Amino acid sequence: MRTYGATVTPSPSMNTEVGRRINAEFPGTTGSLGCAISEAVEAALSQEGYRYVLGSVLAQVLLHQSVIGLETKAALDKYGIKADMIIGCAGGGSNLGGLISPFAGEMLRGEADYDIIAVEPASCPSLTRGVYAYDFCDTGKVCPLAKMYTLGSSFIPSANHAGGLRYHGMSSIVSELYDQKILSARSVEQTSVFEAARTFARVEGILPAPESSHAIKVAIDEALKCKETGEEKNIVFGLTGTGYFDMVAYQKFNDGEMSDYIPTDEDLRKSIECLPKV
Amino acid sequence: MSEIPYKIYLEENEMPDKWYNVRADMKKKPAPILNPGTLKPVTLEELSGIFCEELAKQELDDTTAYFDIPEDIRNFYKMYRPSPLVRAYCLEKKLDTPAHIYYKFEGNNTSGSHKLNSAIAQAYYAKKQGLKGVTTETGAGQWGTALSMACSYFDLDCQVYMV
Ligand SMILES: Cc1ncc(COP(=O)(O)O)c(C=O)c1O
Repeated sequence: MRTYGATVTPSPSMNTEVGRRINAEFPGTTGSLGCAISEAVEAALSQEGYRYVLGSVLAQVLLHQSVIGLETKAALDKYGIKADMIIGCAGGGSNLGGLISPFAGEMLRGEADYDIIAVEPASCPSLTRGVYAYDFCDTGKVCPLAKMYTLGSSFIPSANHAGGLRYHGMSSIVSELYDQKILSARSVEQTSVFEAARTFARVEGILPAPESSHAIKVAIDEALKCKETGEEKNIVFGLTGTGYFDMVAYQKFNDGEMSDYIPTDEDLRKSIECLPKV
Repeated sequence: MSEIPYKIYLEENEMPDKWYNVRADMKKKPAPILNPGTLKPVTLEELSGIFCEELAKQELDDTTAYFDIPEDIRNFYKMYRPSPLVRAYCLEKKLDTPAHIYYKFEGNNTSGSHKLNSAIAQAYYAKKQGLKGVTTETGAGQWGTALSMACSYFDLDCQVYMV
């Protein structure tokens, strides 16, 4: 990031009021995306000529990511392939939302049917175990409230989970499509995700990002089901990225030190209780 | 039907020139985002205090189905798009499955992920509005890297808070 001229501050920092407050309330905290969002928003609001930008969750981000789905559809159409299943990993929902948008559009218009699956980590299961309610998008409660499937903005996911799916909420578009049953959701455990990543890397020659590997895991599961039933389904999944930012996680996996932390109902109840009353 | 190659590549001129807004086709729309102070739906004016104006408009628009992708962004996309749709023949063989597996590979750019697709759009609108810079958060670093690259392309300052 610094090579491209950016400044990088570890969060929670002492640069912002939110950061100082969170450090005081939870000393030694490893932070969360929600908390870093609050810091970034505060930094934007306190400097002239600055705005905050977010890499997921928002409707505008899903819109830009629709280029993924539009290209996918064009490529499939070019060879006359009809997808049966479309699978994507879901953190804040931007790649999934972008990938499925044109296909979900066909379903909404009654033109076609697909089996769309969102895959999330068992350690941060917003869709499969969250509630559909208005919540803050960030820990510091400065961003607008969105109605979404959420674990509560005070939920801090287990630090042992790798990568970018550790977000308490979910895009309000993906949430509404899930509520309308246009898509379904599954949660998977981290170790099984890395096993799927290893299988994939060894035959396809790409080291997948841990996030993307959630989609790989379910794609492999579904392909193995087809082996039993003999069905020739067309399974399409989003390989959102490569794993070179997450070498520490791969190291842990290969050293046998990776664990699967699944929050208890009690953990979730605590953070869901703190939802704002709207 | 012709044989399906390992990688389906579109031509540059087959790249979409519009983004698609799925909300336009939803009969029941996602609930509006609310101002945390008043608990009323956020207005364009309020949202423009946090986001750049064009992006605030996109955020609130749930009826326009297609948005033109500005030419500067399309040209930037051409650095790494269209991305391949790969037929995972090798994985199918390994799993010994009759299923046909395809994946859309978004990792072939400096950020190693799909994040650049939105980073460049957000940087473009910030530049167009004459801003000095932007702030953001990042987890593993894909988004932060994507935004840093997009900002350097448009000569904007970029401040990243990293978990
Ligand atoms: C490679 C990769 N895939 C997926 C995600 C998840 O984000 P989203 O759900 O917004 O696509 C991230 C982001 O953190 C990522 O870096």
